[in-house]
Amino acid sequence: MMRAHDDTMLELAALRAIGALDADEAATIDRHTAECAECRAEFARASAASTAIALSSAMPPPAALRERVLAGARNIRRLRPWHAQAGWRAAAVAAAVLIGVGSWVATHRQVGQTWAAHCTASASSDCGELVAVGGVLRLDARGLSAPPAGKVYQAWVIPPKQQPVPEPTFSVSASGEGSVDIAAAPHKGDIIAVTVEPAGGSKAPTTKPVLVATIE
Amino acid sequence: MLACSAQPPMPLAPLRAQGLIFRQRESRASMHDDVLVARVVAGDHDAFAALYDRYGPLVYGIARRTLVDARQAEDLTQSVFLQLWARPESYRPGGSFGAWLARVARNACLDIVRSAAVRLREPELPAEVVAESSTDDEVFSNMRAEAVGAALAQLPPDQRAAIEQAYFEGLSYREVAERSGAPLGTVKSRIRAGLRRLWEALRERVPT
Repeated sequence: MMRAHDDTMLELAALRAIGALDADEAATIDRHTAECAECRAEFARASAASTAIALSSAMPPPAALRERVLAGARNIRRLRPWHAQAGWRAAAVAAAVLIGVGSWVATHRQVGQTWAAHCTASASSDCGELVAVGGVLRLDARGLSAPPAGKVYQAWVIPPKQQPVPEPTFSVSASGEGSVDIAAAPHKGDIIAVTVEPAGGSKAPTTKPVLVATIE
Repeated sequence: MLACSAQPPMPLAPLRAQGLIFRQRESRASMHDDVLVARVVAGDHDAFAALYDRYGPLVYGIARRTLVDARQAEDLTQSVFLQLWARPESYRPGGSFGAWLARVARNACLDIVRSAAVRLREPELPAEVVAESSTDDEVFSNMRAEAVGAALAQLPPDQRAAIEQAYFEGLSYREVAERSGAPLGTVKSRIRAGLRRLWEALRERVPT
């Protein structure tokens, strides 16, 4: 149960921002700030002040440390995220081709600048259209389930042999319909993809595409 | 990799105009933090070096102030940057990379400090609270070390000592009270008042 707001709560919010509370008090104020705008504002101010304190301590590191750090990085082999791998585009292309072959008629029923969009989870699923209209590409999607809490759908333009370019996020209605305008001209070979991303969107995809459309 | 070589297709032009995409030959020293991080994600060692040059003093300074021992501070700095290299996607673009890295460095330092202490670890901040702290990023992005130092210097000594002990040493207000001999309520008030004064001083210096 949330504790009532008073000056003590404001004090706890400020102390929480700088990490000066014990665990039980931190839990108390976390529950309170989730519901109290005044304490959230106090927390934000105190947090900004706390974080800025770090700047006051900046000092040049020893010159030799730079080479240690850079050499250390050169010795680390890491797995690149899936979207940075060449295979990501190949996977998107494969999904688009597979779906396209299965629904050639649907893909070619377009009149003028319209392309079919498909859900990757179901090869036979028709999940909307991509339409060139008014200088933008409008994706009218359907058949998408509501994204998990705190997540949104985000569109991407994937030019040939290039990494995905972030486009706007969008939500879907209860019936699974949603639209997004992509500020891009239709470019043959581009793939338009949709992924589930954290609220606010991502600069690079963090999940696999749930919908793709290929501009042909 | 976000960069492309020549004659980009139409969709990239707006991003390039916003400074989110750069030509290969553009100096990394002038690139936006988020672009450098995106290049680090793609495996660009020069971008990683540029981030080190930009933020090495911040991370090392936090470590020196918190850990005191110079060698330990160097090891901590190396560890933070190698973690960044190994998992650059841990940073979610859009906020202030510097503020994020400062939090990472401080948490890593306090983990070391607290590893020998009996104090019950404070849990991580819930995501929704962190997400509402965009003010951190705004202040951090527009602030310089000298300005923060000047603002800190204007605080009454007891307030400054209390918030520096809490920030750099990771002390709870109870521990600050034990060390100073001041009543708990007094220490709580000092920390809050000090942060409030600091915020007011910084806000005057942040362009709006």
